[in-house]
Amino acid sequence: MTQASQQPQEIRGGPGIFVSRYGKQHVVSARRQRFPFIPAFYPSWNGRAVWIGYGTVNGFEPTINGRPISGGDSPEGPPSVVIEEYDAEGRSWIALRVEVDPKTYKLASADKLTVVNLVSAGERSVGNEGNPLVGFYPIAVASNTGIHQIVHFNLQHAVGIPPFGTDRKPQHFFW
Amino acid sequence: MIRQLLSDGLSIYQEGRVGSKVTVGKQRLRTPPHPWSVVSENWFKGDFGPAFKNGGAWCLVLRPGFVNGIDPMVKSSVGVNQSALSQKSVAIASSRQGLGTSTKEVYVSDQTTPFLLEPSKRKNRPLLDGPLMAINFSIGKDWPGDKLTPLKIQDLGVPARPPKGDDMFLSGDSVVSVASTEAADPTKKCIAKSVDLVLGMARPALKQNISFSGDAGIVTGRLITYQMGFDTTVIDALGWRPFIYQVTDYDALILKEKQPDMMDIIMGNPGEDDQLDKLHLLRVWAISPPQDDKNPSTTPDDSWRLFYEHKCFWNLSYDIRLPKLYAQYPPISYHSGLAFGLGDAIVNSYLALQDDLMQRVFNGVTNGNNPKGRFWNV
Repeated sequence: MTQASQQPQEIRGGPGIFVSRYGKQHVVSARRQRFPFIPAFYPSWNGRAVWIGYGTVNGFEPTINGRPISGGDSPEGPPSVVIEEYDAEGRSWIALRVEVDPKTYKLASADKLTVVNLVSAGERSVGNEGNPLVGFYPIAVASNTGIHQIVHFNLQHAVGIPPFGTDRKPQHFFW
Repeated sequence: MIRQLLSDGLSIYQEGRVGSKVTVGKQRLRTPPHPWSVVSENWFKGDFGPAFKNGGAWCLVLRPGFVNGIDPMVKSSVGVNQSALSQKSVAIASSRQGLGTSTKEVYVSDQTTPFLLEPSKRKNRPLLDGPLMAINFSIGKDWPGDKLTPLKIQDLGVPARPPKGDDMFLSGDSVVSVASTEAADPTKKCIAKSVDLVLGMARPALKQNISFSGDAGIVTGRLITYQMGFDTTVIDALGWRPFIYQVTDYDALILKEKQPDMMDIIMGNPGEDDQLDKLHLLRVWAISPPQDDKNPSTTPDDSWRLFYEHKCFWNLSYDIRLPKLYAQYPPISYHSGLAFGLGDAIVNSYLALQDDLMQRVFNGVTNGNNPKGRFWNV
């Protein structure tokens, strides 16, 4: 018999640990700690409407119908994006739409930064709406298995400006 | 001791007449919920093909990850009988029920509707559908077994996982578990194998085009044109969508690729280019139970344990370099009318060589001969 077994050890509960005693017996239920970090652009949905949590692009918070995605001080709560359509694999994307200033090629205000629903994964397939100043980046995708977050951090955005004299188009980069 | 065990995430501690019993929860995959992490592992019996000789395979389900917002295709994932599957996704089933330590062919996705695995039917499936990836350890890399133990594996940075036995019995203050009995027997040794899961993106590669101009070439005096063009055989076959496949050793794969030096770039030789951009997602380790040296089993089966060494933790963006974006060097041409224009053609054909060389040097200086893409995380 060692010293540890001579002294009866008292079992105490703690955060996430629940102790129930039945006579001399104990049952300890330990609850696994949940992931404590809530990332930026955290998506939630009810199957049709999608809400996006707070996140920024170049310090600007995206808007939906002119209201910030986190709701701000509005009593109506955060605005939502309604998913209209799914593609052949049952996917539908929630994307950021950035429209830069034509002179500076930079994001000028939060009004130009919106959250939209796309049936394809952004700029390569949407094709800029024919406007090279517009760029898309997907932040969440809804599918049969639920809604999946793509972007977990606040983003930076820049436009790769084509050299003078070439036929390149401006390219939008997010990181 | 008990408190220390509880902090390790044990589920239930029971005190009986004989001793105390600590029950470890069955779904003990301690991978954090990041993209590309392993949601579930399971040993399935069945005929998975000639590469799987133990009458079954270890199958993984990965948490969805995205490249430019698109989920990759999983190469040759295990088929599921869709008619018997009420839920469309295996991922839902595995996350709800937990694949646990089941060794059955049939397991229950919902409480009411079972579905059947069809291991021999393998095809590519999108990662969002939660396909089962049968890990092909026959291509796995062997690691020296004399010094490698599960504890040593932990030293390599692989996150530790409780031993496979579900229960650990406490008698007095000593914990009797599978791990402690392994350590107690020095004559038996463990064997390790590893398989790497790699994210691949197909892209065009550079190649040199030599074209003979027709009548227009005679008019302009340029009979032969040298030009850097694109080789799109791989991307034609695989498409733009990213995919996940298994290799023996990612590091050896990368080291084997011959990187072009400056002379290669100038000479228009882009090196041995397999037209794939690769990223190491994770390394799957399989550790054998302690066994004798004389006749060890080298193919992982139900008795082995899996560990995961994650290399990529976030979703990705990807873009390639397009050398066509770089400016074209203006061609030199020669017009004199010598020999009724035939001299122009001859001289300009030689000048075309010079133009081509100048273009290559220009591409080399501006790194325009390197079409390799880059991944970055978002």
